[in-house]
Amino acid sequence: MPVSTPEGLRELQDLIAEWVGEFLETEVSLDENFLDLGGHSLIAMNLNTRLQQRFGHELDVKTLFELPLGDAARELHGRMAAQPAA
Amino acid sequence: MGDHTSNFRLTPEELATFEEQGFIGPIKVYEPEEMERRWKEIRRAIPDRSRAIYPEDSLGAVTNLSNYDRHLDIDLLSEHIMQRAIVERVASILGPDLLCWRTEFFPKYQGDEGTDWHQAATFAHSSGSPQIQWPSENNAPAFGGTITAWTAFTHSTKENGCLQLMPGTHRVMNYDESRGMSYNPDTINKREKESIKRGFFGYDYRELQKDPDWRPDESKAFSLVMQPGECVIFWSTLMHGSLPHTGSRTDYRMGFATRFVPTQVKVYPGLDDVSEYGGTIPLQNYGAVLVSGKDEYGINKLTDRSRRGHRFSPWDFRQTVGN
Repeated sequence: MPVSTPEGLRELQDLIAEWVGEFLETEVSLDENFLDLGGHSLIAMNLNTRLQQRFGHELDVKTLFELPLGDAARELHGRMAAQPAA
Repeated sequence: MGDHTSNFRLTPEELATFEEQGFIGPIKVYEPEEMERRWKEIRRAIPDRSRAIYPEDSLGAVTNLSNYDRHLDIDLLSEHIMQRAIVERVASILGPDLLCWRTEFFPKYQGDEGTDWHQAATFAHSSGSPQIQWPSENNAPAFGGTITAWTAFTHSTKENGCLQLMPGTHRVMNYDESRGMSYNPDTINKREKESIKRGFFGYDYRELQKDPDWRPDESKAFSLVMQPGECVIFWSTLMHGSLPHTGSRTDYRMGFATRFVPTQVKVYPGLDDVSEYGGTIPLQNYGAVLVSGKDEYGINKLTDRSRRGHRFSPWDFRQTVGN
């Protein structure tokens, strides 16, 4: 189920929230920040491994650490739209 | 920073204890809330590698060499290595003329093995080449090591893999670092030693034992539980290791090691790069930091500012700390 088009932003955000929630074993919302939720670099790496496998793209870790999840997903979505994975 | 009023100089009693035990601590460097605030900021700075001195691809299986020496590009770490609560205590031990020659992060995540018992004098154990060299005494290589200030950036518990120490074991090396170890990242998290899951970041430190039949005396060990912002200062030749992480996924442990030597110690003798733990770091951008006193030897490449312009102003403990 590719989510690599601009129309798929909400879908991508929900998927990332779902995966982060799974890794952190807690409910998360898109306006929360990954680090503040208890995330760390190993979980970020695992999250990016999944994203890479599914979409050929990864979250920018600096963005993930600084912005709310929804905005980090939006940044990724922008890159995906600009440079679709081969 | 020429304040001669000593706040942290070790008392003669503390020094005697340090000489006997090989460590002092835990000591408070930051209040827990302050440490949490600082660590939060540092974490957000780590992914920005635009000024880091080592390339991003210096990545081993579990050890990220590219995050060595981030005190040279992250302001809060630049501040940390100069913390008087640490530096003055170390100067009490090593003398007033001090270099910080290395910093490293030591994370432990859920499921990670503990770290093998080990001692380090030259730090040749993994790289194969001495990384520090004390001046020779009586035409023989001096027995040295580094003083490490290991600060708990998060809390450090038995469940999340706290440090373990064996007091009083710092004077006699049970290991020969010149022997060399084989790097086998496939063994990570797969070996038990004395019923505890331990390894050495892809190596097996037992390969360096002088006596293959010798075993660390675990009865001498104790586990160093620490609050965020607490620090332990110890000789790298002290037997030390850590417990495996048996806790939860979000309860990770993060230690930050700052390593000090006096200015007469040669850092990275004859080396252009360091290869260990499956990665390589080139040293062309490297410089040690004079954290206190003066460098009257001139044998090391120093830097007096970070790559973000943070100026390292050495403390002056010459009036309060003997050689």
